[in-house]
Amino acid sequence: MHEWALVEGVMRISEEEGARHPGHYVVGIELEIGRLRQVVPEDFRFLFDIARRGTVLERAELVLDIRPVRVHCRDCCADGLVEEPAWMACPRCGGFDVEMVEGDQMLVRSINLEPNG
Amino acid sequence: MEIKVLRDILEHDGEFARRTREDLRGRGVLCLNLIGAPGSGKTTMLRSLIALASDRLRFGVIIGDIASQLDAERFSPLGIPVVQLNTGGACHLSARLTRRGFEALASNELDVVMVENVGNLACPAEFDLGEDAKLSMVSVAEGHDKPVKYPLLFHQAAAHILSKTDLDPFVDFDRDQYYAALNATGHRAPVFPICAKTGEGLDAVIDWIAGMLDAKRKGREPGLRPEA
Repeated sequence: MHEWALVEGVMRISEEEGARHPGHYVVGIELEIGRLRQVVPEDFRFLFDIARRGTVLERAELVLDIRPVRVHCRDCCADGLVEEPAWMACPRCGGFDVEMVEGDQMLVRSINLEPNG
Repeated sequence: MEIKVLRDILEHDGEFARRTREDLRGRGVLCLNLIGAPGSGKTTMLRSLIALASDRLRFGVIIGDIASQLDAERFSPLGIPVVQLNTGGACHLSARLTRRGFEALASNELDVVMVENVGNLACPAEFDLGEDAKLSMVSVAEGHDKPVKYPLLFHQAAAHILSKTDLDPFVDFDRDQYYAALNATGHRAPVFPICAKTGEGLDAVIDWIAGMLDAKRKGREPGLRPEA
């Protein structure tokens, strides 16, 4: 259940970002998490709903963008998506000499603010 | 009003990892983060390996478990510095908690710190502790499909330990499928089949560790991942 550590990280960053914009409240937060990170969205949302009570995120809508694993093939130079993260094969030539372009990121991408009142 | 943030969710814990990595670099100490399921043989391998390598390398050990001091006690006959960390329920070591272990070891002259993570193939792979490399461990009794089921660890590990090879005749571990799954992580990392009870295969692991340490001390970063 490492989702709890992620929720803590999101809360910490939100509090810091929110404090930079006094007179505003957070209406939305967007996270970007690569599929290789094995995050369970339902668990994350459940813990997020507990953690945000009484915080800057109390009224924020959570967008959880789970990003696919994308690779670049060093053999045939194709870029493409990997359906099965355990099988990092080039979607064009099937080779395994690939580098991951995305799919292991865990970011707070943006927050959306509205003025108070 | 949308504010672009683009900050790593684990950046706070990552800061502890960064400081640990800096300390270890300054002292020329190699750190390996051993990750495997409960019962895969992590403690048994470390005990055998450290005993075998005692004339070559000075080891310290940090052990993560949810509860108990049992593993630390298992190391006491070796007479090496050992720190047992209890996560109190968390399924992985964080960089923040592990830093306490590094601080407790700091008064010792060491070559290598082995971190034995909480037994779990999933969550520990998510957390950078400041180590130079992660090692995966699977015992033949667990089955050859583990790299397919827990891709992140096997994607990150700089080497893979295949333990309990003395059980081969009794289980249906298919090495070809295991190697094929590791190959499919997109990079090449060495695989070390071992039997900690007989010591078979441990010399190769020790040579690999010594090579990593040498590379680090010569200023060539061993790196979190091996070269593809």
